[in-house]
Amino acid sequence: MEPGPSSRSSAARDLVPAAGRSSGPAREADISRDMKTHFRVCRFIMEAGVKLGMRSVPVATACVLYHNFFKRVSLSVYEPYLVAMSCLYLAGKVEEQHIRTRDIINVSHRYFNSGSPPLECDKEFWDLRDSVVQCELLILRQLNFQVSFEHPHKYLLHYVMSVKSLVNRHAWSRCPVAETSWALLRDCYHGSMCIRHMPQHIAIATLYLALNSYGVELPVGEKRWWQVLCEGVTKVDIDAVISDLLQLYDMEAKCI
Amino acid sequence: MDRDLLRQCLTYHGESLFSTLKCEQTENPDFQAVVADLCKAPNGEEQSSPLVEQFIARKADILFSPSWKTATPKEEEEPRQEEAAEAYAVMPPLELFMEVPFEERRTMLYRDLERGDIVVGRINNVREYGFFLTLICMAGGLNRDIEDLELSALCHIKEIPSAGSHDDPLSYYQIGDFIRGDKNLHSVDLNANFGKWWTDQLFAKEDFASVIRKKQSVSWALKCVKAGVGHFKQGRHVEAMNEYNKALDIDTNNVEALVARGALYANKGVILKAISDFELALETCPDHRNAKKYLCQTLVERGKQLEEQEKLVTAEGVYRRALSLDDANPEAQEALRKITETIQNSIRLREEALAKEGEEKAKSSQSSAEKLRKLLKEEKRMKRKRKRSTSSSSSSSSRKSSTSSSSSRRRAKKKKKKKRKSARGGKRRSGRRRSDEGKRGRKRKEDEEDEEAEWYPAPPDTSATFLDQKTWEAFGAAADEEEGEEDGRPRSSERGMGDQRRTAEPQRSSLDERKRRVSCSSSDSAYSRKLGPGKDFSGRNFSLRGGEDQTPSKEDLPANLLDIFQQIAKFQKEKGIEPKKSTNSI
Repeated sequence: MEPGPSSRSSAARDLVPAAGRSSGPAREADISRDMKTHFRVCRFIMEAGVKLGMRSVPVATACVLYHNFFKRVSLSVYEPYLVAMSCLYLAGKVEEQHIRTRDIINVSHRYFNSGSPPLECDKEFWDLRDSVVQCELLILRQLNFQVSFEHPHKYLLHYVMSVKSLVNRHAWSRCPVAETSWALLRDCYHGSMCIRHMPQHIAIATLYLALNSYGVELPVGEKRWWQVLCEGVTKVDIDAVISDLLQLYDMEAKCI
Repeated sequence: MDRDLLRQCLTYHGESLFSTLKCEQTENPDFQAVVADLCKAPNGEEQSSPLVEQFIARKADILFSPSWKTATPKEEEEPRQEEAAEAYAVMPPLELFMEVPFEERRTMLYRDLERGDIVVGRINNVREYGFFLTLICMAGGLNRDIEDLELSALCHIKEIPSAGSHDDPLSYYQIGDFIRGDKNLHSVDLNANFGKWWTDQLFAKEDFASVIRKKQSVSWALKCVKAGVGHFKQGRHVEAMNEYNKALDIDTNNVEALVARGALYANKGVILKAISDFELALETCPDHRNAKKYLCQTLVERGKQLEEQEKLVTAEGVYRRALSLDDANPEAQEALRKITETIQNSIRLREEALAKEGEEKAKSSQSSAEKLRKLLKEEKRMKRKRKRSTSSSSSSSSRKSSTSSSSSRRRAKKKKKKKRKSARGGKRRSGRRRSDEGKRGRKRKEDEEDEEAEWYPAPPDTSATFLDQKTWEAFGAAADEEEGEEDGRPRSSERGMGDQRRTAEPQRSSLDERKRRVSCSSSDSAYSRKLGPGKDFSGRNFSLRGGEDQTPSKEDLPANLLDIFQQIAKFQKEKGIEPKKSTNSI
């Protein structure tokens, strides 16, 4: 496993600035290695979100916070899993689903040490808690305190409802289009693509992909359905999102 | 893998997908089973991108797995749809924006319209076998725009609900009416709940936050309890209690903490709290040995306490409970035996006493009315005595005699109060009773003022105290404000004093009188308002008002004369009231 848990207890160490990096093939290897790390950490965020009972939108916020944080900052300086935990905590506050630090620490500890008994109320616990809280402040400063984001979820819901009315209800109940598009949306958050595209485009793209996957036929009029639902989205945009998503699935295959 | 889904997908995408799928999914046994049926590969209808095909091919096992079916929505009632409509704006159907051609929309509608969809139409023709509608819009179920599709529907006479007592239901309907019809009985609706992510079931239950937290709380609480027990053994009871409370904060209803705290309470002698702690602990864990033992001992203690308080039956119940918890406890057995004896003795004694009482009661069988009459006579006698004494002596002696008479009256009053309360119930108040209550009201004021140096007579309109003191004050509070507006008298200062009266004892004599007048008159007016229909009351009010007008002049008179005057006025009023009331009473 990653060297995460052992270095989690002291936040002070994380604030040491990194040395310069070499360029060329080493750099590319670094980048792909970083992307893999991010992928794994986002998977951790998702899993912890489920275990903490968080809704989809706060988990999405946590991922976006994480990606935004590491956009300008190097992985060698900050412990990614600690940042992830603090992102969860901060996202809970932002999206009004408050999560206690105690629960986050419990779940994370168990993630890394599976089957272990719960932590006692001792120094290690309080150190961890302090780390999470301090890191939260660090994230806020790094992001210039801009922590509220617009997510594709509400757009997706609306689009799905609109498209549903076009389709024969039996055909609809046979194909799990809604569930698939929702799952695809959640998968988008494993990579930085979630911050590179507009939320409406992401929603349209996931729905498009889901509909296409099941071969659902939609009527064709003067305009396509996705042109109607979202002003100004083009096939190019949709394809860009889908290709990013597929790259993500590629990486998943390599990471496991 | 779901065959239908796969087939549908292949139909849509065509040959290229089929070949990609075969490449990717050769290892998959499900696919191989299914592929045999899918040999025929029709042309792809749409130019689907290679990316999508690649995705489908790679993820086919997840996409087409039957586990999605568990997540598919169930049929639900109409209300769900309305709820969903409130959560987001209801838009016109999408095909409108897409500008789908006419024919296609029509075919779509015919394909999709089903039993249970509600349509709204306008009647354009009435025949003897039914009426024809042009369909305007959908009202439930399907969400389509059908107005310009020029559809017409026939509503057969069999299906028209009978409207009232018309023989011919058709006559109820005219051309141009709007009709909302439900094609058939049940409607199909799909819910719009997307929340569940299918991997929720894949994580072990023990990894969830709430489960871990609970285990952790128990372990933390136990640590505190151990520390507390350590304190307790060394005699530091306060610290021990703190530790136990801390433990219970961390983990409410923690069994060990409750038992330990209960033991501490029992030691200190706070029996009731100890019992409740033990009970709570036993609810969670009915077989806790220590809890049962301690509870048994504590209950025996409690029983002894109750015995001392003469609550023998309760004590017996407590001992029985203790014994049920721990049969072998010798103390409990002993105590139970003793108490059953005592109870039986006391029952016997009581029965004998009752028998005796029964005989006595038989002798004195007066009716309540007679008793009341007797008491009233007694009161009048007392009053007359008091009047005589006040007229002959000074205010201080009058006070003495009044206190003596008042004290004797007080005793009589106690008996009367109970009877009056029951009699007052729902009946109309007769003048006699009113006067009694008035006296009682005044009596209470006298009791109040007895502590003070001087005794202040009630104002002449005391007979207006048909209400007793409590309602008086309530009205005084409410009506004080209204009173000023109503009468327009310069009573602002007095009202202010009236306020004081509510909170503190009156300070000075003149102040007192004025206050009482204020409250009386205010209660008057309030009462008269409240009992509007009673004309007699209003009549009396006028007389009282007349009395009130005179009171300002009375302030100059010496206390004795004031006193006499008021007594006389009161007595006269009573006499005046009684004949009136006797006609009024039902």
